Amino acid sequence: MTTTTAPRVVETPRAIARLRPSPRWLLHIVLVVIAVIWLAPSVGLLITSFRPPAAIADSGWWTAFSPARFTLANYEHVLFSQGMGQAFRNSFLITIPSTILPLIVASLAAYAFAWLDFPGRDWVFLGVLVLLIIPLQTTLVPVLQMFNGLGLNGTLHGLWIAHTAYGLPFAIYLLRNFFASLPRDLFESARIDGANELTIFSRIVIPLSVPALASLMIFQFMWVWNDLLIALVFMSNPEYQPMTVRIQALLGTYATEWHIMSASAFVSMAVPLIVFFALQRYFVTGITAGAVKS
Amino acid sequence: MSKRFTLILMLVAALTLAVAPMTSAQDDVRFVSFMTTFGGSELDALMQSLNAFTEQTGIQVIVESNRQLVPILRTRIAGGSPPDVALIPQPGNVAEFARQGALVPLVNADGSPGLIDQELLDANYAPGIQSLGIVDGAVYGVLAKANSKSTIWYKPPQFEELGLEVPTTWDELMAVQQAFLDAGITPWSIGGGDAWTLTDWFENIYARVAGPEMYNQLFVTHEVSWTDPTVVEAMELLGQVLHPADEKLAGGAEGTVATDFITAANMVFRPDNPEAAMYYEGGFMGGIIANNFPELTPVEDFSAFLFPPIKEEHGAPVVGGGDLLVAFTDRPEVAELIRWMASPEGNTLWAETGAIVSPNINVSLDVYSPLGALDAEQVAGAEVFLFDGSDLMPSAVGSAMSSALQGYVADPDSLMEQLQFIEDTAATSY
Amino acid sequence: MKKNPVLGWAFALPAVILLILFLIYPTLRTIQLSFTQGIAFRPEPYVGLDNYITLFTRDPFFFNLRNFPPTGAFFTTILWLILFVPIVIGLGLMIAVMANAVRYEVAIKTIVFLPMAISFTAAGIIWRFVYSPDPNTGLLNAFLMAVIPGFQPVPWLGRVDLVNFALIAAAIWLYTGFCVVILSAALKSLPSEVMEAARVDGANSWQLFWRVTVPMLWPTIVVVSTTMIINVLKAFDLVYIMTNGGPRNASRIIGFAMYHETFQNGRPGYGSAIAVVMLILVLPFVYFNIRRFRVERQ
Repeated sequence: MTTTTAPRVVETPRAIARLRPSPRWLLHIVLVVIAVIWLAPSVGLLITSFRPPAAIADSGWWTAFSPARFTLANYEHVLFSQGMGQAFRNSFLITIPSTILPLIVASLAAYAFAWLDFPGRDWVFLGVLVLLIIPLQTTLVPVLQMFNGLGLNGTLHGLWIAHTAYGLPFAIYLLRNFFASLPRDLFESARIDGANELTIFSRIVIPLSVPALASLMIFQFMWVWNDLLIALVFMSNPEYQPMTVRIQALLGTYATEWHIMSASAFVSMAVPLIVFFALQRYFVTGITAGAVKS
Repeated sequence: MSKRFTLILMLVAALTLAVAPMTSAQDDVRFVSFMTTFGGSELDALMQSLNAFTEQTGIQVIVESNRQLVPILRTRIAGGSPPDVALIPQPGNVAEFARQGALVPLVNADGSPGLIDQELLDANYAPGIQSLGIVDGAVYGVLAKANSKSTIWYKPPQFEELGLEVPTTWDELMAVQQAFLDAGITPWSIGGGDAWTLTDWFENIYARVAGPEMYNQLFVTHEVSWTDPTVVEAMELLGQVLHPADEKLAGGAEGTVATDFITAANMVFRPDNPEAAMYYEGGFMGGIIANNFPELTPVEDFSAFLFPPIKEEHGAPVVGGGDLLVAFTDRPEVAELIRWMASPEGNTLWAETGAIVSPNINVSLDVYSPLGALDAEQVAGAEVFLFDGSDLMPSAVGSAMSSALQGYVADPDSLMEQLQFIEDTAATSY
Repeated sequence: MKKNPVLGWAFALPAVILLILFLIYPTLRTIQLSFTQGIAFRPEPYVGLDNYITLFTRDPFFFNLRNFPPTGAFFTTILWLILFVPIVIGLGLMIAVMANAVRYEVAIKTIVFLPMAISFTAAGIIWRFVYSPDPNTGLLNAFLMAVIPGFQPVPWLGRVDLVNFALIAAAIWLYTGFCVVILSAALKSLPSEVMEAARVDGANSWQLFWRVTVPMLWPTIVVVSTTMIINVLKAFDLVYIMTNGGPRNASRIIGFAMYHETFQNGRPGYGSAIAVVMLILVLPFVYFNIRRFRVERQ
């Protein structure tokens, strides 16, 4: 998208601009309404997570304050159930490498697809796009057979590699788009200065793409953190089972224990939210614009 | 700053790679891996028995609990890493896996011992129960737990108030229904969003209209067609409960197919604003109701009666469900576990928790709570125990039946069309 | 563009190897299975095009032209594409741009993002609560009854004509945060000089949005739209948890049908045929992306 937008010079008479209603208060109202709609279901879940099962069964969460019937028992049940601490640790052991590895592998490939010319490039990239549609479920049986052959079944390494591979198509697709929108002059002047591709990649491309990398990182982190299916299929070893697996073992066959479900949803949400807040500043500060100038 | 960002990423990656140890199967420890859908308190109850087994034999039992048991099992079998044993709720799936060669026979087709021997089974299980685990002559599964699905739950105080007696025939049940309608009370709440509640209704009626033999011919072998007059008759009887839905079902037809089975029960038994009087489902509902409403006294405030007989000659067969224990590997540890799970001791420890009813004839009825005894009496006292028909059918036919019944709830006139649809699916599935 | 075959391949190689092993090889297996019954995931016995023929002629829950509008998973998925994708992108763009102009940007973005952090299971549960036909526990019915006098509770998930709209609304709630985060990241990296220049020239915010922001964000909008289209084509979790395809199979979509046939009904051959149909459906969108990719390079 290098040349799309030399901004059209728009000559609007100031008077017309002034005729429109002031958008400022409208803006605030719309945003607040959106916030309320988006929050209501989650708040409902949060309040539900503090209610005893009998209260959940006979009345809505919005009536929870009259009369107030609250309990911490749901959280106690989830947090102190057997093996939850270990499962919490396992979730980190699984998620951190499974977030970082695909980021590295995908950004290398995305750079090649965006800025290096090599035979077959367009075809390979086309292949990556098609792979976006592959439903995970259709790959499980062949991959499991392969893992058994390689002794990777039931190991952390196996899970990391699987999550990395499954995360790649989207990561490559997203990053290639961001990399391609970087100004061309940057690369040309660096190459004239004699920088090699690895230097350009690590010194120019990566630093300029921090907003994209940070958002990608959040998504990958959450997908892996919340994954149940891959863990159920590839991690039969209970020593390394993540929280999602432990939590569903707290639920009965029919899974309608709302009180445990709601509490465990908040327990497992906490970490992705912390990651979101931690990375927030990286995509809020517009790094690119400033860096391009220098 | 961004360089630091990259650096941190690399560092964390390196650290995790270094910290995480390679995992390996515990070769030195004797263990059995065990897959089940049980979780929460159900799993705690099962562990009472499994822990005792570990204490006696030193064999660890590694339990994998998940609620998508069949999909995960299919994947793991095809991928070459099934668990050692599993508790499977559908005999239909047991037959399927056995015919694929994925299961190890417990007793061979010629009667010779497989993992265990026939005498152990004969000493502990009635022939009707044993037959549920038999595929093509060989025994592949043992029914580890059972529950009645022929219980109608009601509120005794409400019956008393209206001067109603527990019905013992279909006509009496219809009279009770009419009494509620006359009193301005919606008689039924059905959780038709979980379509199996509807299939359970049909199965109970069909078993009473056509008898056990035809029941098996309809569900297991498909020798009886879905457009058979007996099926139509049973459906029309079911229609007496369902239609008109606006009067007889809490939430009407559309509300019924949008409600899950637990919410439907809550709508009957919650102390404030109950929306209906009666609820039909399995014996396991007692525990769920007691859990959701601790202020209610079981048996006094809520109780159950046996689904009444319809035709005298067929009596009141008990339709029920249960889980079959099957083995995927033939290691000696696996055989030891199966032997334990089939024994009176292993079953008693489990049944004592009140979580299950054991089909083992050597488990005393005294071990159950008053609620559990209701269920256990029906299972143990059953002249005929029929397994839940929709679990015996090929999965695709079960799906078709669910959909057809939901359609029938919505529109009584669509009956023949719905039955034809099940028949079309069945014709290509056996 | 620098010509260097070895270097280019070296950068792409780790990704390419992983993709071949984990996605391409299994997909070839899926295509092979789709021409067989695939019992126990073994490619036998061979049945030719039977699965595909059944799918389009004898499976009323996949492809049914006898009703109008046509029904079945195939057409329900098209309904999703028509409704879900434009709304979720439009909302995402709107929120990203609007939030950019206020001081509580982080708060708004966090709130909209919140659903993304919730697992599908929990999200499905939340919405089953919202849609419950019982006004004692169903938020939506309770709200409407409080606002509109005489309103009768509606079983949103129990009505064949409403269930898909109810599911799409839940999916919009779930995915808008995704669009906001990516579009907002792109918005942040737009050179601010361009905006300033346009503003100095007297453009109002409406014109600024349509004439500057949207064209400059276009490549990202295409990426997000493609991702959303693909998400719809393979969606399964939400339907599985909220309705399990019901009532009367009205809420089946392609991804759900694939999962249900393969793993629940144990017909991997038939399920694989559905997966192949998914693969074919995505090709037009891939073509569109590649064309853009070519144009952009010139």
